[in-house]
Amino acid sequence: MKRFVPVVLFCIFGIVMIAAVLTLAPVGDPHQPSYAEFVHPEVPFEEIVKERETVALHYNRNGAYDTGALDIITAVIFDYRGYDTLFETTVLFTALISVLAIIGINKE
Amino acid sequence: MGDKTKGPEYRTSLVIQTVTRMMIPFLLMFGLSVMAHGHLTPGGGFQGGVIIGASFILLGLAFNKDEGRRALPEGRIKGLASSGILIYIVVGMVGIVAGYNFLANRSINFPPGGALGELFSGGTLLWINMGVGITVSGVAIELFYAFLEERRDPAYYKHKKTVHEKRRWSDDGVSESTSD
Repeated sequence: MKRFVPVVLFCIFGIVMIAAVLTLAPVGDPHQPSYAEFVHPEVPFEEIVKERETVALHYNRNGAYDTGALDIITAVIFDYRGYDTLFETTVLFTALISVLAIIGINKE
Repeated sequence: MGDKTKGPEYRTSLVIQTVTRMMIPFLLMFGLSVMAHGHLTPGGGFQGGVIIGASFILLGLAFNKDEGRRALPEGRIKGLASSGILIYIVVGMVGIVAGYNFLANRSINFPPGGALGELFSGGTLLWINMGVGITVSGVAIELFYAFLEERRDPAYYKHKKTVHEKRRWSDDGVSESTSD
């Protein structure tokens, strides 16, 4: 019985995960925002623009207006993805703290 | 020769020292410029911070590590590395105080920016770039000097010393039975 409960829980978890994977968008669908990087060659460009604003198109068109930055890379990594850069900097700082904790001890 | 325990004195040629002394102000200005124009030109906080860190690393390489330490003491580097993240978070909090999201940029209009392409057009991006640059430069400098000095717990040296002494004793033939 004790062994049975984890197995059932694991099966339920697996079913949930498989169901989540099945609801994902088909790979390369240009109308999904997350697949904006890849545009199928058979889909005409006008249709993509007409149907939905994809992420890449949105950044290219509105980046300067949204952020006030001319450099699109800075606009993305410091404004649209500001949280990511904040914790990226924190990771760098944590690396410094780890190094100092290992070789920087100065107990005299 | 002076102190034999410290090894031969580290010394570079006069050419390197002179060129380094001439280069460092320009390197610092270039790093600051890359950081400040992060939202206008390629580059940004990470790249500019590494350039500034490289200038201090160059100082430590061309002279010696004490010279580099004197230019920017260790406690100050740690303060710089910490305060960069603090600047980032405080700039993000400005958005909350103004009534928008964390890290809101265009909607709070702080500082009141000029036209697109000017230095203050990016709103908070300028200060965020500065904060990231300060942190990255501090991390680069302190990592270099930490690996250069490699201080350890004194207990580590004590252990090493006793092992060394034991080996020398057995080499002399005074006490061969103490080998572990």
